[in-house]
Amino acid sequence: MHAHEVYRIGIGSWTLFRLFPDAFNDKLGLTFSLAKGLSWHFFLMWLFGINGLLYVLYTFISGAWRDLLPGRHALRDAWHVFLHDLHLRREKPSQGKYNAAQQIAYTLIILAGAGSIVTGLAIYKPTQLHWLTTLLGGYEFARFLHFWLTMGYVVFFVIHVIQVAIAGWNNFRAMVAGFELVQDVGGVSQEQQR
Amino acid sequence: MSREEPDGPLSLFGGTSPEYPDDAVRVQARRRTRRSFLAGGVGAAGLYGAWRWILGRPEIGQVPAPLRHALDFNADISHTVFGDRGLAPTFPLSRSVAAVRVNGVIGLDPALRLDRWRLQVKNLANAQSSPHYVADVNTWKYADDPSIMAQDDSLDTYVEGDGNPDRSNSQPNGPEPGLLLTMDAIRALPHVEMVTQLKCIEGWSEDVHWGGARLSDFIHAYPPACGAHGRLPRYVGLETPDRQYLRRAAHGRCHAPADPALLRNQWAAALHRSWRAFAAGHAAQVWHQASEADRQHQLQRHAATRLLGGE
Repeated sequence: MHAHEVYRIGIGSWTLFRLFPDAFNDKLGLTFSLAKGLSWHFFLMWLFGINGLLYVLYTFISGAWRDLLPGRHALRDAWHVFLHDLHLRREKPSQGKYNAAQQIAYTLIILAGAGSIVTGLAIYKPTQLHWLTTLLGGYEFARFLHFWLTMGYVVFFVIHVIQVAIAGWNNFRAMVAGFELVQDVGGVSQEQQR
Repeated sequence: MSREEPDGPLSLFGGTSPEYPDDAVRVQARRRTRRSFLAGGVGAAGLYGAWRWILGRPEIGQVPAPLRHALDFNADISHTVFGDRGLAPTFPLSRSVAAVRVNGVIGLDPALRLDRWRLQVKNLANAQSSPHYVADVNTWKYADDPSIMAQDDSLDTYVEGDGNPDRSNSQPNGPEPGLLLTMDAIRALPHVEMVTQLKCIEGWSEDVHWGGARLSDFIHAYPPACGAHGRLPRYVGLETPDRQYLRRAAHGRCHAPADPALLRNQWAAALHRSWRAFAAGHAAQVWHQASEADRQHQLQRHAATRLLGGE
């Protein structure tokens, strides 16, 4: 058994999917390159961490965190959003800039990012940071968490792209260009800064 | 999921556009949209290009130079933050595994004849005064033993051709003075045992009962030569006789005599593959209790390594 065979999704001996497809690894120049893969990690962790830190700082300084943090009824509202998106519920819960499901997702993804850093450190320096590794349930469980957080990003990414596609062009443009066109009450269109 | 959708049917990126009477706004919107998407596209292409560029850089130690520099940068931070203070936790004997996992056979040389085996040690201080001194450690060639190979099926699959390892890929230039140590010289060092966790980033870990000579004791007995400015070498390298597997560890960490657990762990990490049999079952029992024949066999499999001076 090659060592990377453990990276799979399945139950027991049944395997649904192996990580990652060769075409993916080929394109990124990672095929069977353990040392290179590790050094990518220890290089990109800086971009990952600094980028996350800047984002969190920005949301706090700009006050954008108020739109992003879930409110008291977020769980119930998110459930209603979920039903609405599946066309099982007609009315959409009232929302601000983001709906409750978005708020929960966008907050969880930040926590997940922090989790990736922490579990990553626990398996990067399991000797020097053995207290952290132990705190996370040991080396193998920390690695398990690290792996499944990454799978979580993949799921987040897929749902995100689907939702953007469903939401339409105006929304997509707002994400990229930072503005959207809305119709005035008087029927005159105007440009609105997000 | 924008907050206010314009009226009209939704479509995939298709421009849902209801009629916007204000042409000036639409022109401006188009321009800004074009600019933003262009910038986004260039940014995305740039990231992929940077990835490919890094992969195309000359490699240092089998890793592209920019990534290698990042690793060195991380190592400097790690040295500053942790120093030699991070000790690997040790565990009671009962936690150690009975049979240690075999993760691969790279560098696991076919059986050696112990009486003919030597540990090549280079870049030592006062090497000449040692009875083991030779003017060129490469004059020693190790020999494998067909009779032992025949007894062990697992070895057969590894041996290719005539069973002689290929050492052409790293044949050194010129004579290299140093020591050729016998197994008895290694055994003369203090015997140390401990249980530490062997961790493999490929996805598994095991609590292993280690036994044998400690690297710190070895380095104490055979101190390395100082380089320029009287500095000790930064790293200690370990290489299997067939030169198929190489590990290196920061020398300062191996040298600190006060940190047995750490040293043990470094040693363990360094020898993870190439000294598999060192971890084979309860190595200490192998050393103490096994029959002489078994013991010879075990020793032959775990004793095969060269010690090289660091950079």
